[in-house]
Amino acid sequence: MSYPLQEIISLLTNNIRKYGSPFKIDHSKLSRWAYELKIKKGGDTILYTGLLYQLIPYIKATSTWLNRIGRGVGGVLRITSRLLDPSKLIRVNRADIDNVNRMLKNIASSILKTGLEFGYLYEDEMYSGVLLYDIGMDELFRRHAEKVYEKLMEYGVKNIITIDPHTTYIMAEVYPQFIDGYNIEVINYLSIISEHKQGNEQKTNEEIVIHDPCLYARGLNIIEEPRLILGDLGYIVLEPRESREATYCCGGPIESIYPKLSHEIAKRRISQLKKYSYKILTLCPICYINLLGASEEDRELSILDISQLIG
Amino acid sequence: MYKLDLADLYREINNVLNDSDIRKALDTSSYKIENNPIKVHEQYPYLDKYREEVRKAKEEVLKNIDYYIDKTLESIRKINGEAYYVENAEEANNLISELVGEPPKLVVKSKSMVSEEIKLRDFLENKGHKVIETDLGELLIQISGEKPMHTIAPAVHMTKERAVALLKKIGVKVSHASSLADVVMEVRKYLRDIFYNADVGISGGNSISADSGAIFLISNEGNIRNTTNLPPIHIALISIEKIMPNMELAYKQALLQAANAGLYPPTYLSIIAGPSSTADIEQTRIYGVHGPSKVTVILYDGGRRQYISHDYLWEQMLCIKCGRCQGVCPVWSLTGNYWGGSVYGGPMGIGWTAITEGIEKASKLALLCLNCMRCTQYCPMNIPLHKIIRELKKELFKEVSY
Repeated sequence: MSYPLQEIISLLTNNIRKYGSPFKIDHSKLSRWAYELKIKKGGDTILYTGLLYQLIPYIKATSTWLNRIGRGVGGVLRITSRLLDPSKLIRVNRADIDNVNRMLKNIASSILKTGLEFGYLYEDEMYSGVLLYDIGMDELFRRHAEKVYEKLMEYGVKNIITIDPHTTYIMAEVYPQFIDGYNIEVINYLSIISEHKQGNEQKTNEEIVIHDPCLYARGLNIIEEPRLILGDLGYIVLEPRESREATYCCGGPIESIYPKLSHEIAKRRISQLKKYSYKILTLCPICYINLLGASEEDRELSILDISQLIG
Repeated sequence: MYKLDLADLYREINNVLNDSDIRKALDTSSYKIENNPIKVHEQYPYLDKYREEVRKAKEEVLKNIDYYIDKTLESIRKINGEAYYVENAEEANNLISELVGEPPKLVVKSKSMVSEEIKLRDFLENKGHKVIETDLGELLIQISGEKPMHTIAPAVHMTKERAVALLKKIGVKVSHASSLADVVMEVRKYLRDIFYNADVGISGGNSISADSGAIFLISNEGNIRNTTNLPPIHIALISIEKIMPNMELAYKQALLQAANAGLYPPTYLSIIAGPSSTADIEQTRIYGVHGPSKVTVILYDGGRRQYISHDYLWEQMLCIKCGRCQGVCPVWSLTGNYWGGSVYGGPMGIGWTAITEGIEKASKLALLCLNCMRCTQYCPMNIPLHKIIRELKKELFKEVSY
């Protein structure tokens, strides 16, 4: 059986249209990580996750399915709308959700440490629509972006602190091209926390190889910031040949278009990185999940996102 | 919305992903395509300056394409060459067939992507001519019946074992015990007689200068010199975006293509301005001495002119077809030109497929792009390749009602 590309694209985009994100998820659950930190709701300046980190467990669960479909397992009939409905066939791992919640808490804590005050939109926070932009569905993307902007206006938001390359790029570089009068200042959290000492007394002396996300390195020029942060934590950052502006893609962006090819690209990236260290650092939830998936066969490897080291 | 019928493409790519020979070969070649030009640019820093000059000149030519086509044709005629402008594959094939003459003729070819576009070899063979590709990689492609895998290195995906098996089929005296050097020597022997006996030599062109009509051709094997020099008739088929305003810029474009393919200095750079001639006896000019007595240049449009004013595809035509974007692309490094149209693949190949085979075909291929911007980062002409590809993706969903 051939890969049901058309059906997959329809499902993902319909989900975004109906439920606001590529998966049919109860959005109120996605902001639970913030309760403990008692972040206020709304405000001039807010932390904006764009839900990308929160999607990790769902992407992980779904990619197993997509891979099986890519290999010709399963029939089109069985992968109808139930496929991307986690309450049905997709089993999301509780440990993955806990892991992501810790990542988000760490990110927020590291910003709090700088003394910067910010709010959060909790269940009203929306996905950026990046998938629609990436596959070229610009009209649908524009409508989604307008809804996101309306929500931000409703709360009187002026500045947003973004935490991943995709949401940062979309909201800083792409929204202004799609929304008339878009007037939101976007700053990435790495820029904020790299200017402050992480204040960790105990410095690690471990080596770690860095995987720059394409959009940070080639789209947003966020290159030195993570290195400063890691250096401050005491890490010895190893630069692969394909580093900085020459960084190599993790394959993530075509995960839903062509899972097998996406996976092979991730494996190729892993093989470039592990020449330097078995400890691989990511700076993006998509890179994290994709490289993690490609490292399963190699138990010595550990894939760490920067959000697991800070806070 | 176009129907996303990509089953054939996925099947082909899956085959490549499961073929360890092809994977190994693509791995090595993409590494070289990425890194060799870096070394070249470090060693010859003036090449960096060429990039901007060449891009500016190409923009100038595209903006005034009709003027430059006419000027080029006129210049070729002034140096006693024959010159034609043709719009499409059918016109090009018919014209070349006429120039080659009554079959059967022996035709030698050097590698030319434009000749792939018009399927020239098939056309001439069907007319009853014998056509031999003289670039080693292209010869292997001719025997295997595949499509070229890379603009500069068409057989990048083949191992020595595969090459030997293919060459044996046409009677080249090689075996699995032959060393690489032996294989090459045997190919040389095989092609020697063919070169001497050929009636017509057909080449492409890396550049052509509008002010002089001279063609610039780069080669490392030396086959282009033989193809364009030994037969009595030379036909050069060149697409219109290769026109440069003058000799200096044509030269720079050719060198830049070689450098970004990682082959610098190129072993040979031929400048051909009309037929060979002598006036050594009695000051009377006679055409056809050691080189051809007849040189014909055909400027080929093939859909290009209609896209010169297109809102995003125009920029693809600044491409010098060095193939650098292919080697640096994470997708191409695994798929080769299977991710492509019938001639062009990889990042630049998506745009070129749109121009030469239509937007619908190209926009489906575009879906596999990661939008990682690596191609754009490395393109010597600063073409925003990833943006062109995203624009093509948009074409897929233009008609969707929400």
